[in-house]
Amino acid sequence: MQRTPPDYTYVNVHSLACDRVPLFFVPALDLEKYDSSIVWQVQLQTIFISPFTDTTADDKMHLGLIDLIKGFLTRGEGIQQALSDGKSDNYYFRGNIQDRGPCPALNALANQGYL
Amino acid sequence: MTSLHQDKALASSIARPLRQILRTDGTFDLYDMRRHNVIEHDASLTRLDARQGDNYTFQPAMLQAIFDDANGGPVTVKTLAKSYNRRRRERKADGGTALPWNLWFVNIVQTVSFLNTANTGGKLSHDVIRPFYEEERIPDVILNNHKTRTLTGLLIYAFTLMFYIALDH
Repeated sequence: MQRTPPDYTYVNVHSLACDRVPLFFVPALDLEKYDSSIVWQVQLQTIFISPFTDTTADDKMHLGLIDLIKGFLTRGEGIQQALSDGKSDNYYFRGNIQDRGPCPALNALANQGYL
Repeated sequence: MTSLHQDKALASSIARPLRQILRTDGTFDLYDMRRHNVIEHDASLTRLDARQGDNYTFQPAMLQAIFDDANGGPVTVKTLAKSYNRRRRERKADGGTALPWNLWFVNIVQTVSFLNTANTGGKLSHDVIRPFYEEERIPDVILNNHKTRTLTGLLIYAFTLMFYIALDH
């Protein structure tokens, strides 16, 4: 199937709600669900390495020192599966700024199909 | 982590704040990141402040100012300290208020985050920076660099930045 550039990225990030999940983003492009005109929904599958799925939101609002410390304390068994072979099979299509946020890194990941 | 060449600690810590913009179905949109003082904040080096009406559009003049801080050479943690202090002065002069205390360290980390992610020896050339900000495209030199980016590395850059900020201040 011919790839068509995404105009908008819709991200499924269930694992982000989990407290102890070392995040491993796996962009699994579900082309069957793709609407050929505008919207490309990209499901971002994540691998749950930890059995803990605490979805309780806390009051933290930002990437703070505690987040960074927690990062060191993150436990897991390591990567169990990798959909990426490490080679960059990337393309680039700049999405509409009206659909994007202020973070150039996340915008870039979306533009290049990682999200 | 493999795709992004990050260790578990780095990937989990920098993604954790995104939880706050998740909808109940566990999804979010990129534009939700514009919400002021949630993830987005004033004092971004390449975006205007929220009170100025547009806090998400890349501002070419602000990138040029970063290059000017580096005297046209590569951007380093030392020149980023200069940019950080300049931006702070500009915000004050423009009538902006200081960042909330809980965003102070966020801003420090964000300032050096690209330096850590690029993993180009502590120096960011214009060839690396321009596509990232102007086109919002991660250059191949970064994507094809499979060295693992670590949280430790990010924090070393952050504390080095704080040192130079104090020195330059």
